[in-house]
Order: sequence, then structure tokens, then C-alpha cells
Amino acid sequence: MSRILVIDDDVDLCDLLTDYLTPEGLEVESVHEGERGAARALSGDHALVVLDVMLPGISGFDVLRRIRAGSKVPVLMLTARGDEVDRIVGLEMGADDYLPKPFNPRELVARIRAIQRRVEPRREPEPGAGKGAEKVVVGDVQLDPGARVVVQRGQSVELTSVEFALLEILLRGAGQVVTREDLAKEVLGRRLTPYDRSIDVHISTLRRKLGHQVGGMERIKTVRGTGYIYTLPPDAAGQKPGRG
Amino acid sequence: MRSLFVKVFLWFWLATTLSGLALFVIGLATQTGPPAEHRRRAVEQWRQLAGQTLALYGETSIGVMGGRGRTAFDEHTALLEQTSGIRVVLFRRGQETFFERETSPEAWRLAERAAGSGETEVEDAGEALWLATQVLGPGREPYVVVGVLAGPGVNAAVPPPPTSGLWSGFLTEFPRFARGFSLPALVSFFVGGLVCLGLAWRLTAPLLRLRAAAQRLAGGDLTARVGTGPVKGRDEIAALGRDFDLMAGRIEELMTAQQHLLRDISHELRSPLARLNVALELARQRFGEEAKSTLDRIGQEAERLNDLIGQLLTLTQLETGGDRIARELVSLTHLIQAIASDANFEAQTRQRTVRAVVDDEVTVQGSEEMLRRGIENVVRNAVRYTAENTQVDISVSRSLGGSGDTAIIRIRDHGPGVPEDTLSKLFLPFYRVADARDRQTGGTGIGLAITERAVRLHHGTVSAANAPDGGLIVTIVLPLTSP
Repeated sequence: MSRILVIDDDVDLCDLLTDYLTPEGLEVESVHEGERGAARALSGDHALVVLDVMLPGISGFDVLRRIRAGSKVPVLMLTARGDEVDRIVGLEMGADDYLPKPFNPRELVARIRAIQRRVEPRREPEPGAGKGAEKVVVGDVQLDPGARVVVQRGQSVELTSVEFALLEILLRGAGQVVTREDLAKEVLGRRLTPYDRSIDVHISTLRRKLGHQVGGMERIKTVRGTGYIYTLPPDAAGQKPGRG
Repeated sequence: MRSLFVKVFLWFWLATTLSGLALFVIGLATQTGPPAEHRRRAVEQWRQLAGQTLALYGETSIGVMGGRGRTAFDEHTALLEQTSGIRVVLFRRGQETFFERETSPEAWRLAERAAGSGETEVEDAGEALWLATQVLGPGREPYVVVGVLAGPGVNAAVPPPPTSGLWSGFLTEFPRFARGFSLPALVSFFVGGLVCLGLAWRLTAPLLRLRAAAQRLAGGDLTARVGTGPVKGRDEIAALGRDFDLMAGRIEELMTAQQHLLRDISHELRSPLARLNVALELARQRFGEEAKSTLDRIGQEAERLNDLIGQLLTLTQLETGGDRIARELVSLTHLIQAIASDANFEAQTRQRTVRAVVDDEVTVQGSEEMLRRGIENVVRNAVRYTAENTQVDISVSRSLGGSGDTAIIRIRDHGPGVPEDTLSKLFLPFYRVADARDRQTGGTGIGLAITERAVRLHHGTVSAANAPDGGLIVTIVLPLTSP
């Protein structure tokens, strides 16, 4: 049973969520205040954190900053409906996904499952896929799905689970357009709503962490209205991404 | 407003000019005013001098007659007439003519008048000028001496006495009067004009400022104030400006309070709604099969509440955060096609269709998301009201107007339309044309208000009209070049 941490000042909501999520196989720990929430999230006892951005005392963003300073635990933000700025700020600060509040609890469970699927180390290659745990090398970047590490020119790069999953898909399809819809489905486990900027925000974080350019070319190109292409290094053009 | 300035200026100028003209006419007609006064004094002086001279002649003549007799008197007066040109006639009061040499009735009448008034009397007899004054003899016996100035040029040498006829005076005096008056009149006409210009400007400039502030306020800029700068002082316009500022301040306060209240209520409603959603799912977990329809209904209503709160928050966000909207190039063509295809997908399940007709590429500057929300709300509304098996038509066209090029989006449904008198209220939040039907069809009452705000933030306008053959046409006009 996975333990999840819910940081929300609404005590009644936390109780109801505990009642609802327990039969789903999720063990819920509730914290109603930011300081302690951040401390608990950093303890490493939880598989996932559900964080309300509207908290009394220190804000949800401050809690997120503290968590990201010391942990890569997946964070699902609960944001005010219609507040895009909150969402983008949260995603840029390293949240994995967001859910507007009030939410449908079934949707919450689906998001939690999507994140869990992504994070769970793939011990066995998925049947039919065959390449699940294979390392991917494109240009200066090397990604190891089994160990969940990314190495760039000998240096390890710290990525959140979403960023890791995004990069993996992009690298596997390097040189080809990967649509935003596919990325959302694979990585976030959901369809994008109009003006959902989640994928774009994660991509821009990836660019920042890996460097915008590779070999004088743009590393991740935007195909307007469609998706993204991870640029193949010039010498590897026309070849399949290398395997290590 | 410029016309008020022009009006005030012209009226003031007309008033000063007319009053100058009236002064001129009155002065001319009543022989008052500086030139007439000057003439009057000259005549008075001349009359006194002439009277004194005549009195002197009279006294010496009386003396001559009393001392040396009638012949000497005649010689004396003849000599006087020869040297001074004045013929002296002497009358004794209360008696017959003393000196019979001149006894015309005019002389008599004038002598009687002078005796009665005790002053020098003058009469213009055409070829001669008659004067009469009273003198006293050696034994204090009263005499009246009459002098006759005869000969050519006598009228020219001496200013004629003021005449009293109004019209004849006007005619005879006009040319001279006009000559003396024309330069001052011209100067006062132009100086008066300049002063009136200044006055009119002083009166209307504060009004222009007031109007500008009122327009800004009406346009949604709640911080618009007249300010204390140029409209200072204690006059009525300054007071009006201050009152306007007070009013604007009050409106801003109320609007801000209302928006905050709306936002806070919406935020506060989210918490119980979030709990309701979880509780509902718990109920589904436990009694899913038995109470499915009821629980579905609760879920549907909760979703509707959720939509309402979301739209309310969008509305308050548009009201307050309008200045930080994105400014990107938005292809209306693509946007409308996307909206139409989405709406068509939903409409087809209800036996209605949505079709977009887009002639050419139209691009505006602004926030695509806000525009989408604004237009989508109108389209959704149209789909809701259009009759079964009818079509909602969307058209985008470009219009070259005097005040810049505009994009015109028309959304037309084939529904019942809206009563004419409520057309302008359609874009007010929570305005409902027909309560019962609206609830039934699931409107929240703020969709079109969001449209109006979103369009206004893009400096555009939205209006509604009934189509002649039934149905509602909503027209959105957006400027192509953003100001």
C-alpha cells in the first residue's frame, strides 16, 4: 500500500479523502499546515504529495520550494480553478501535475495512478515493449530508465519524475515530432484541456536543465501547434538513437 | 464640446458689441456722452459770455440814455452795431417798447422769456441770432436787453445751440459722431473679442476635463479623476469637479468591494464543494447501484455549481486583471474554426449544427484564451437556444472603417430571439430573459458577461440584435490594429 501525504488546511476534506482513498489502496496522511507539511514531505515516507497552494501561514509555493530543495518526491498541486498563473508557477517550481479544486476524487485517483506508474521502477521489461529498461543515448545525453538517472557529459542531471518521463519519450523519438497530446497521455495520463500549458512548462524546464543548444542547434524544437522534436546530433542524423 | 466654447465666445462677443452699439445710439439720440457734453458746455459758455457782453452793452446804453438822452442812445447803439456787429434793443419791464427801433413780436417774446427765466435766452432765427438777457438800470429798474447778431457766417462762427429733435438731431449729428466713434469702437470690438475668447476658454476648459474624466470612468477606468490641477478655485465648476471625484471614488470603492466579495464568495464556495465532491464519491462507493440516479443528479448539480464558480472567478479576473492580459497575435480564422468544430461536436448530439464561414485570414492582437472564452460563450448560448434541426452560423469578416480596420464576428441562431427592450441587458451578469427556460437549458447567466468583458479588454464592442426572420444575431467587433 502506497502512502500519500495530503497537505491541506481543510480538515474535513482530508478526512473525507482518507475515507475515499483508503479503499483505493492508498494510505493517507494529512497535515493541515505548511511548515509541518514540508517537514513530513522531506521525510521520504511517502510515494506522493498532494499539496493545496492556498494554505494559511506559509503558502503552498513555499512548501513546494522546500520540498524540491531536498526531495524529488512527486507533487500534485491543488490549484484555484481558473488561475493559470498559479499553475504555471507551480509547474515551473517542480510540481509534477496540477488539479483544479474543487476536483472529482476519481480524477484525483487517476492522476495519482499516472504519477505512480511513471515513478515505479521498471523491474521487468514490459511485454512487447522490450526496450523498457534499455539505456538511451542521444548526443551528449544518456538516460537510464532502470536506475532513473540522466547523465550529461559525465554529470548527473537532477530531473523530477515528469521531466524524466518526458525526456525519455523525446529521446526515444529523437528526430521525430512527438505531439503534445501524446506527451500528455504518456506522461500525465490525461488529455490536455484547451490552453493547458503543463507540457510546455515541463519542456521549458527540461531545456533549462539540459541547456538550450546542442552542437550549435536548438536542443528541443517547438513545432507550433503540434508538439516537439528532440534534435538528433548532426553526425547521428538519419540513424536510430544509440543504445548503451 | 468645442461648440460650447464657440457658442459662449460668440454670445459674449455679441453681447459686448451690442452693448457698445447701444451706448453709441443712446449717446447720439439723447445728446449725452462725451462729444455732446463737450458741445453743450461750449454752448453754455458762449451763452454766458454773450449774455455778459449783452448785459454790459445794455447797462452802458441805459446809462447813455439816462445821462444824455435818446439821441445819444441811438448814436451809441449805432456805434455798437458798427463795431461789434450786435444790434442792441432795450425793453423796459412792464412797459411798452422803450426803444421803438425794433419791436418785432419775436423780440418781444424773447424779452418776455428772458425776464421770466432771469437767464440769457437764445434763439436762432435763421439769418440772425437773437439773444436776450435781463439787466438792472441805475435806479434798480428792470430792463431786458435784446441783442441781434446778424450777417453771413454768424452760425459758423458760433456753435449752434443744442437742438432737441431726436430724429433730426440723429441725422445731423451722425457723420461727425461716427467719425469720432469709429476708432474706439474698432479697438473695443477686438479687445472685447479677445477678452471673450479668454472668458469662454476659462469657462469651457474645465468642462472638457470633466467630460474626459467622465468618459474614462464610463469606459471602465475606475481610477479616472478630474483632479485638483487646473480646476481649482471655489466656483461652481470646480465644485462640480470635486463632486465628480467624490462620486468616482465612491463608485470605485463599491465596485472593488463588489468584486472582492464576489471573488471571496467564489473562493469560499470551493471548499464545501470540494468536500461535497468527495462525499458524493464516497456515497457512490457504498451505495453505488441503489442510488445511482440520485447520486448522478447530485454530481450534475455539483458540476453546475462548479462551472458557475469557475465563470464567476473568470469574470472577476477579467474585471481586475485586465491590464496584464497577454498581447499576442491571434488568428481569428483558426480560433473560430476550432470553436465551431468543438461546438458542432456538442451540438450534433442535440440535433443542431454549427457552421463557420470565414472568408479570409483575420488576425487580431490580444489574448487567445480570453477571446476563445468570449466567443465560445456566445456560440454555446446560440446552440442552447437555436431550434432543433437548425444551424448556428458564425461568420468572420474584415471591415475597413473610418476609425481603423475591424474584424467583425457574427453569430446567428435560429431560436426565439430576445425581446427588443432587453437586448442591451443581455451582457449584464445574471441577467435572464426568461428565468424558467434558462435554468432548464442550463445557463449560468454570466457567459455573455464574460464575453462583454473579454471583448472590451480587446478594445472591441459586442452587441445583439434580433434577426428579421427570427433568431438572435450577436456581433463582436474587434480592432485589427491594437491601440
